[in-house]
Amino acid sequence: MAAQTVVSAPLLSWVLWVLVWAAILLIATVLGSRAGRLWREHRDAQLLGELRPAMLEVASGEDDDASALHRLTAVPAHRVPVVDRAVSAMLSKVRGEPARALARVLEAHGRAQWAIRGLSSHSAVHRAHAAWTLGLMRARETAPRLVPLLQDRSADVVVAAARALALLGDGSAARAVLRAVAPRRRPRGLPSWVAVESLCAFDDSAAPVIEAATLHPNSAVRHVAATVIGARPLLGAAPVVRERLAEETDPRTLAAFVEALGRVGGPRDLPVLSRFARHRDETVALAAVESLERLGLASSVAALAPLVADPRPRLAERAAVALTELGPAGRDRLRDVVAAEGSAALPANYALQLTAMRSAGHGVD
Amino acid sequence: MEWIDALRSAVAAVLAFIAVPVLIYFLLINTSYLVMIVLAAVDFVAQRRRIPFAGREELMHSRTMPGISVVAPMHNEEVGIRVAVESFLSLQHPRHEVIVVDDGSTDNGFEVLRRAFDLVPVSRQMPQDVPVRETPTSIHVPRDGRTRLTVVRKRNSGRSDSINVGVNLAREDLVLFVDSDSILDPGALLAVSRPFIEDPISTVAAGGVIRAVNGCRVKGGRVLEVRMPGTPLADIQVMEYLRAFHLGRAGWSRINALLLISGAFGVFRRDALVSVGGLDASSIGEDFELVMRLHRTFRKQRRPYRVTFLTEPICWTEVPSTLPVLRRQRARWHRGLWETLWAYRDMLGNPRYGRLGLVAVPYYWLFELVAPLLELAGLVLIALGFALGLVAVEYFVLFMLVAYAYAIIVTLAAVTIEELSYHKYPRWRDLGITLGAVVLENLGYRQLTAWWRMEGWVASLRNRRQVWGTMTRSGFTEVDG
Repeated sequence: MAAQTVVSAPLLSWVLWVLVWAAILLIATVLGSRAGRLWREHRDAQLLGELRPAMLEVASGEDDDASALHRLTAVPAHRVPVVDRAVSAMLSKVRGEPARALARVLEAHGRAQWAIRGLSSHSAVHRAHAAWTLGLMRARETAPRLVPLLQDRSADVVVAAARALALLGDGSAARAVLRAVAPRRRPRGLPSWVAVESLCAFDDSAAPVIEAATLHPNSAVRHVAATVIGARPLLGAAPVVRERLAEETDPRTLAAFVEALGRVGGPRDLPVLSRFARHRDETVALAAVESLERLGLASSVAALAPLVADPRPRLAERAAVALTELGPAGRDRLRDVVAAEGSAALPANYALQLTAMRSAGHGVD
Repeated sequence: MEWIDALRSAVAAVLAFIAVPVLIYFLLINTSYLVMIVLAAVDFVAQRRRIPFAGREELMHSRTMPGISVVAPMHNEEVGIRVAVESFLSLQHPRHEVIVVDDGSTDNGFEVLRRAFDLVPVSRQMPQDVPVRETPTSIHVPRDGRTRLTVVRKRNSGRSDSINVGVNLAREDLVLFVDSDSILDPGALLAVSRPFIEDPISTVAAGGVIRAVNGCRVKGGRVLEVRMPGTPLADIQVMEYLRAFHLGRAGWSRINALLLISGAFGVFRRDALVSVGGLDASSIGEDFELVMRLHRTFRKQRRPYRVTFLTEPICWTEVPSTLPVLRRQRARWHRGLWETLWAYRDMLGNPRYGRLGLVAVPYYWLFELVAPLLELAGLVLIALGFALGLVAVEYFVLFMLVAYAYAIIVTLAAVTIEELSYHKYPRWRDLGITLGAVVLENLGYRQLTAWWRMEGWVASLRNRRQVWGTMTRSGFTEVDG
């Protein structure tokens, strides 16, 4: 009947044969991959074990007679990739003279030329690796070659280029970094945090570009700009932030601007921050409370006190905790609130309770 | 025997009618798994390649890292709760708090915590941002006032309601759900927070990998050595988690059509959770339902959003080691799947939801929901055909071999990807167990779980009340010294 032989037996046999061979191939891949990996790990550990003391000597700046540097630069060719990998990993963690000393190892191995050639490679991994290597080597003169990579079609290359530029610290790349956050050609831009860290690492020449980015049509770019203004902090950007507060439509970006104002603003911003602490979006309101606390002014107490009675419990609690951080004046105000026994008594009491417990643990009032 | 002839004719007719569609279905379902695995592999390769220059080590000190509240519901977890909370508190993250919600435990779990962390009651007002069935009866914090731990006590109202209580009390921007008997890798919080600093405007939810802790060597709430469980039932589940929950979800995430973040390990932006009303405490598949609701709400409101899955952060959890517990779990999962898909049937084939409506939701209907029904029907028919002499023995054996060989290839592909990328199981012995489990899965386990899934579906259709049952845990293999 038709059903029993919906697929002919020879065809089934052939398919089974193919599947069995595919299974054998996959199992061989698994076994081969494991064996190869274990062998490489063993070999690399052995090689690095011998050279690690020299690496640490160079990285710690104690290689006065350059003998350790010589040991690292004079390794045979087959050991160079392993040493370069280890040195690169170390370079991402050190700064200053040790970094320059380690970079000399890579330079002696011809990594600078390799990396410059690699920037135009067809392989995205190669381009990214090359860009990152130049950053690690603090090859500041190569910054103009790295900037175009911020528009690369590969997201990995863009990230590597931005991080490399951060290590070089050249503020002239700021505009390109911000442009990479909202690229025209790629669906996804440079990750926000990478952009923020890069822009924070750039020299002061980046400041006007960052301020201008607060007007960018894309909210992701504005968010990055606002975060950088607060994180660096760019004190001169306070007027721009104040202006943007009135215009910003995206709630998360607005919260970032409010937070930035807490870091770059001053006493004259208390009224506007108090107003934002009543904002209907809780994220914005919480950012305003945090900013009021961060300003740390005597008048912040007066601005925060009414917020303890806010109908939103998280906000009221955050305002009460902020008051405890503002010293005796803030805590006295909270005691008044508790004594008044209104709706604000609960968050006020909670914040005071926490403060008392902390103080008991540290023997301070 | 007339009735046998009649049965033979009927089976022959049915076989003739459905043989080709069923064959195509099996081809499609296994091929779809293979496609997901390949998509995930592309993602894995990209992730591994970017390790040297991705800056993972800088995450801890990133100025943009948002705070995260770890919400862990607890119900009669007396034995492991202290170690679990200690391990949650010691996770790497610049700003995280831990909120344990005691869901009406009848054991000494709370006392254990009170003694371990010197808890004292505080008068704290709970926000009502997300509706809850049971409000806290008391809230406790460590006496030092600094340790970022809050323990909430309330009457028993279920896991979802307990998480909602935790969401209300959460102070941070992000909320992580984790079971209090699970173990997070030390860097898991940082890794799972990463999408939220990469795209802080759009990312609303992210999920991480769930792996089986059975058999692993654990000390002080840390997995010291990863091992295969060594019991066939748990070994097979390791394979299943790898293929379906790890690689499958990575594949869906790659095409921006992720429908499910496991309730055992998921991070959500708190404001997004509040805007959709938190977890649905009446839902059986509460994690699936929540993600579907996020999709529907954000799409309807035309708000930019992103739901993503990460293969790096790991949550270790104990998988069922007995058949009755596994049976209840699978029945519950399938019931939750059906009830959620039915509740969100308007998304099926709806172009308004983009590739979710046109690809992911139809896939879940066709290949996740219907799969056990068709698998069992196919098996019964072919067995009947064999018994009635409609199918030759050689043909029957050959057919079954091909069907299961393809399934084995799919799982072997998943094992290969794991070995080439994360290679979490270092012992050669574990590799042997893995390969054995790949074959064993098809000899009874698949068929049993298909049957249990059908039980869950039928129970829902018959409106039977869902009983969660108790997960019998054998505990972790703690190492000495």
